[in-house]
Parts: sequence; C-alpha cells; structure tokens
Amino acid sequence: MNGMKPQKSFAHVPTDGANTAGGSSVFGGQAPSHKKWLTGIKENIWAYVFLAPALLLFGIFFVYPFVYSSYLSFMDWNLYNDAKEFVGLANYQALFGDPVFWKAALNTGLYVIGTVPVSMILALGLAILVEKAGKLKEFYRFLLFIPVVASIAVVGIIWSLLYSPAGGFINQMLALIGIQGPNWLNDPKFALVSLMIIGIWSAVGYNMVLYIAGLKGIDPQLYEAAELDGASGWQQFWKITVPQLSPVSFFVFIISIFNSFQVFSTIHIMTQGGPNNATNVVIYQMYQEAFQFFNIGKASALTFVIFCAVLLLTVVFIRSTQRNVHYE
Amino acid sequence: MLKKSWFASGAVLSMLLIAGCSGDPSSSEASNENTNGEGPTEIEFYHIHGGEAGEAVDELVAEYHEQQDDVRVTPVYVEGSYEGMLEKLQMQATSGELPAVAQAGFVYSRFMIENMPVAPIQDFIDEENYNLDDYYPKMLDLGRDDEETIWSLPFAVSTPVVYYNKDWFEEAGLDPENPPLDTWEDVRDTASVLAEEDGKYGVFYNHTITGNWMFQAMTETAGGRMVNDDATEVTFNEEPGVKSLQYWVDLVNKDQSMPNVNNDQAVQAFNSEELGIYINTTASLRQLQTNSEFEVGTAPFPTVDGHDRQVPAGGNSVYIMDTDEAQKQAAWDFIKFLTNPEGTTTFSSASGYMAVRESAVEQDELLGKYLNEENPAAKTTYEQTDEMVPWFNFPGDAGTRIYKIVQDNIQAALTEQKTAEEALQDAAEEANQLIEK
Repeated sequence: MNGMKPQKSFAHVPTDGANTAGGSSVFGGQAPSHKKWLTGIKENIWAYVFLAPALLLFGIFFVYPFVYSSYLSFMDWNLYNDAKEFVGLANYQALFGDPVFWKAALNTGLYVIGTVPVSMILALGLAILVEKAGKLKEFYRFLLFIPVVASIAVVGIIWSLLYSPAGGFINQMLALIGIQGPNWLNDPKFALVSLMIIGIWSAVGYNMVLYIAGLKGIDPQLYEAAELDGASGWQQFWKITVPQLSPVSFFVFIISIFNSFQVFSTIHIMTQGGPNNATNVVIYQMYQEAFQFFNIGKASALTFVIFCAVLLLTVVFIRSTQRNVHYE
Repeated sequence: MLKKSWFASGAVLSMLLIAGCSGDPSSSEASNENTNGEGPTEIEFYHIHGGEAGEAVDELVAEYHEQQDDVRVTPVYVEGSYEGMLEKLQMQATSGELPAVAQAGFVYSRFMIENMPVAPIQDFIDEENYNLDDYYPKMLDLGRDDEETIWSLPFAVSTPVVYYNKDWFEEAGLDPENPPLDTWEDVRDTASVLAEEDGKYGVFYNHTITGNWMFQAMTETAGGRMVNDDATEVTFNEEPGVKSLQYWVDLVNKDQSMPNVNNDQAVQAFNSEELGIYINTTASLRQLQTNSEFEVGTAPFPTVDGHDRQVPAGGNSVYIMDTDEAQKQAAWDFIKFLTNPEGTTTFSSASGYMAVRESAVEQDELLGKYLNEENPAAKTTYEQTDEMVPWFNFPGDAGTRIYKIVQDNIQAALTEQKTAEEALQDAAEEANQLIEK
C-alpha cells in the first residue's frame, strides 16, 4: 500500500519536474529577476496544468469557505435575512462566555482521548489475529469491516435500542451475570462513554484494514533473521512489527484523531447532545448554533476556533513524526 | 443576488462539510420554471413524513394527479422533522430555490410567518371567497396571526394521548375498557402496579418531543402558562410547571416506574411489552398498532386537581411559499385538495393524525365508520378537540434556543443534577434574558 508513505510521495509531486531550474519550486521560490521568474513559469507550465484541477477544487471547497466563514464570524447574521451586521469580536466573546462551549470542548477532548488509542490498539491486535486466521481470514476481515460501511442512521438507532435500560440487550446480558447495567445513554456519567464505545466499534474495522496492509509490507526476512537470533514472539513484535508499522500508525493516528474530533452523527441521532449537554461536542454545538438557533456568526466563530485547534494539532504531530516515525 | 446566494451557499456548504452531514441531493433541482399554459405546472411539496405517513403523502399526490391535469406535484421528503424542515427551507431560501408548498410544524408558525418568504393563504381565500366553515375552527386558528390573517391551512393535527397495553392491563387486573388513567394520580398508581414485575416499567411521558410540547401540555393542564400575557417573561417556573416536572422526577426516581430513556427506546419498550403506558402524540397510533402484537388502547390526556385539560395542538400546516404566480396558484389548488374532506381522510387514516374537516369525521364513508367501528383507538384525540390550545411559540428568533434550555434542564432534573424547582428557575432566568433581547 503506497499510502504508507503519504508524506514522502506527496511532497515529491510538484518538485520532480522542477529540478532543472536549480530547485526553484512551482511557486517561484527563488526569483532574483523577473525574467528568470518567467522562465520558471514556462518550464513548469505542465506542473500548473496538472495542478489546476486540484487547486481549483481546493480553492472552491477549502480556501473560499474558510475565508468566507472567517468573515461571517465577525458578523451578526441569522441566515434567512439578507442583512448582516458587523459586530467585531462579539461572537467570539459570546462563544468563550458560553459554558456550553467549554463543556463541548472538554467532551470533545475526552472523546478523542477515549477513542483513539483504544481503537488503534484493538485494530492492531485484530489485524495480527486476522492475518493468522488461516482460511477464515477473509470472513473475519469482512465481519470486522461491516461497522465501517453500515449506515450511521441505522447504527444509531440499533445502538440506542441495545443500550436501553428498558429491555435493552446489553443490560439484559449484564443482568444474567448479576450486574445491574447503567442507563447508558441517559445517565450523564455514562452517556459520553456509551458514544465512545460506538466510536471505537465503528473505527476499528477501518484501522484494522490499514494495519493489515502495513503488516503485509514488512519484509519477512526480518522475522527470519530474528528467529535465527533466538528472539521471542514478544520481542519480534516490539522490535520489528511496531517500529516497522510506525508510518501506518502515524497515518491511523492522524485519521482517527480527526475523525473523532468530528463526531457528529451518532450524537445527532442518539442524544442530541444530552442529557443536559453531557454529550455535546464542538461540531454538534456548531450545528446547533447555525441551523437550530440561526446564529451563523457564533457558529462561524466556533468553526474558526475548531480550525485553529486542528491546525495546531496537525503542526504538533507533523513535527513529532520527524523524530518518531521511521520511513525506510 | 446570484452572487450573494453563491456566497451564502458556500458558507452553508463549508459548515456542512465540517459537520460531516450531507444534504439531500435528490431535492436540489427545484422546478421553478414558469410554465405559461404549456403543459402542467410542476410544483414541489416539502413534507416531513416518512414511513406509512410518507406513503400516504404519495397516495395523496397520486389521487390529486388523477383528478386534474394542470398541476403536477413532486413530493419531497425532508429528514429531521420540523427542525430539518426549517433548516432545509432556509437553505433553499438562501439559494433562491423554494418549493411551492411546504409543511411546517405549529411549533414554528411564528417563525415561518415572521422570517420566511411565505405568501399568506388569506389572499387566495379572499380572492375566490373560499368557504372555511367545515374546518375545525380551533385548527384554523393555528394558522392565524394576531391580526386574524390566515397564513397556512392545517394539514396534520395531533394532541397528546395515552397509549396502553390492553392485554397487559387485563392480566394485571386493571379494566382495559375503563382504564384507571384519568388523572395524574391514576396514572402514577397504575404505573406502579405495572412496574412491580422485575425489569418492567409503567409509564413514559415523551418529554423529548421538540418545542417542550409535553411539558407545555402538563404545565397548562395543571393550570399554568408558559409565558405571561404580554409574552415579556416566562412563567413555566411557577407552581404548575414545577409540579409537572416534579411529577416526572418522582415517576423516574422515586417510583422508578418511568424509564429515563429517549423516544426510540420508549417505543421499543412499549412494543416489546416492557412498558405498559406510553404518552405521546396521537400521530404515533398507526405505527404502534402495526408494530405491536397486543391490542393498543388509547385514553385522553390525564388531568390534575380538577383543572381543565389543555392539550397543545401538535402537528403541522401547509404554506404557500412566495414563488412566482403560476407556482403559487398551483400550490393553492393542491393545498385545497390536501385539506379537503377526502384528502384529509386519506392522510388521517394512514397515520393517526387528526382530520382537519368536521364533515370528514362525521361521514361514515369517510372517517366516521373507521373511527367508530374499525379503529376506535383513533377516536380518542377527537374527544379533546375543544381543549386544544396553540403550541406555544416564543417571540423573536430565540425560540429554538429557549426550547433547548428548557429541555436541558428537564434532563438535569430527571437525572437529579438539579431539583425540579432549581432546574426550572435556571431555565427561566436564561429564557428571560433571551426574550428581553
């Protein structure tokens, strides 16, 4: 799987054709004179041509909405009325003064911390087990991937019924072994945990597939050599499998963080952020502010804050990989 | 204008992308062409009914097409109930692609009239002197503003009723034909009897319905009001409101006869006989009957302390959106069909919603026989017609936020984070600040 080295391959695309111009990039990084700059463009014209569709889409679907919603975050606007009023930082003040925002931010953080590591570890474990399953390999892979492709609307309702304290499957099973199950979705202490469990359940299959691809990419000679040196299975796992998988792990980690950062559908279907905001998260709050309370300004301010948080996380992660991820 | 709508749709799009939920592509191509007598006028009808009620909408459209050739209607199912509809209409309005006919919940009547591009139906009524005598007057009032202008006609109206499991009542030694469910105390006692068995629950009041519908029904039936007369201050935190919420809190925490669940869970528990009494809109009737293997009985909404029953009218009405003239005329024609005695019969018998015409209920060949003989459980809601009050709409555009604040605090009380009194006090303080703005 080529996605194993997403950074490397991606970074090479624009510069490959530009080496002749003394390393000047498509964006004309080195441009001592106007003429040289023009030559740069001419030499790289095909790069621009090939990049154009991507840049266009990037502009339409990312740059423009981002700029426009940043603009809206300084406005008072209710969506159905043409009139927008400039209100300065009032939306940001309202946001930071809103206890629901802090609750939602905390919940989002807890949700990310609660789902990402567990879903990664489970996925790696399952990937190794599934690969050793012999004839049933395909079957298990299929089974574990179902949650990924299942319709979230259906999944939400099914889990809702499983979690029910009134005749729900989970609590009935717990009752068989003498445990009185909690009121999963409607007890503020358990509601977020209940959603994390669903989050993990639906992410594991996807992560597992990535890990399976990663496992297949490891050179079997490494294991053979280790075997000859008398390394135990456990040692092989820690000294070979884990480091060899680090690029995949990094990819899975990033994807998982951003996916769980954006948890929305299960909340929308199952709890609507309740009970009493116990499961409200930033994306759900943004949705409510925009489309239920018609406060586009505040929703845009929240969008901007979310963007900054995600950007910050990305920078931190990319920096940290330079030390901890081993590419061949 | 085009530019503006581009901008706006971009913003909406970006938020949707971030929220990870996608819009409904099937309805993006609005048919707003002016047809000028060449062929039929094509209009769209946005509605919120899925399942059996949704099939009834399709049936209605087919019947309408059989009757005439001038108008062709495309029904568009909008997900997410009344909130989903508001969301959708706003997006269509920003992009200038409104449907000719749209349905909106009574909970958002004020919002529709004040904020959305709606053409008052009064104009069309006046133009041809359309006779309104047969509509239930209380239902017609739901589409009127303070100046007596009619903005919308009632389409599907509901009141809260009590559903109960007749078979289970019989087993428990409770009279299934005259169930002890008249007052709050009756319901409480009966629920305790039903909940005696391990793992079973007695009653669920569906307090999760949007717009604090059930809470309003309780509070006003207990003699209270949601706001004061000039709508400057909320009053749901006074004694009747507190009494209502306290009643639920006691059912959940003291008697433990009411599960603290969401509505999907409650319906499932009722259908699988884990829950004996379910209090919700009459609109759920057909669905509950289809999905349960026991006989479903219905009873009127319970009262308390000898106060009169006050049931907020749930459901929705249909609006003509402010599009071009041909569209509007076609919309008016379709709406007359939707709400005529035959149209209202089709929809009502398929769903459980009330018919909006008195003659439909009286005539045997329409709903009369159905209600009196075939499905008497559907009749209960009509016994409450005189006690119907408007679903309260908060003034301004803070309404949806206030509903959520009240709902949050109801949940806080049910989970014992706050007492009933504290919860409503907190809700009232926040709500009053928003009303003042």
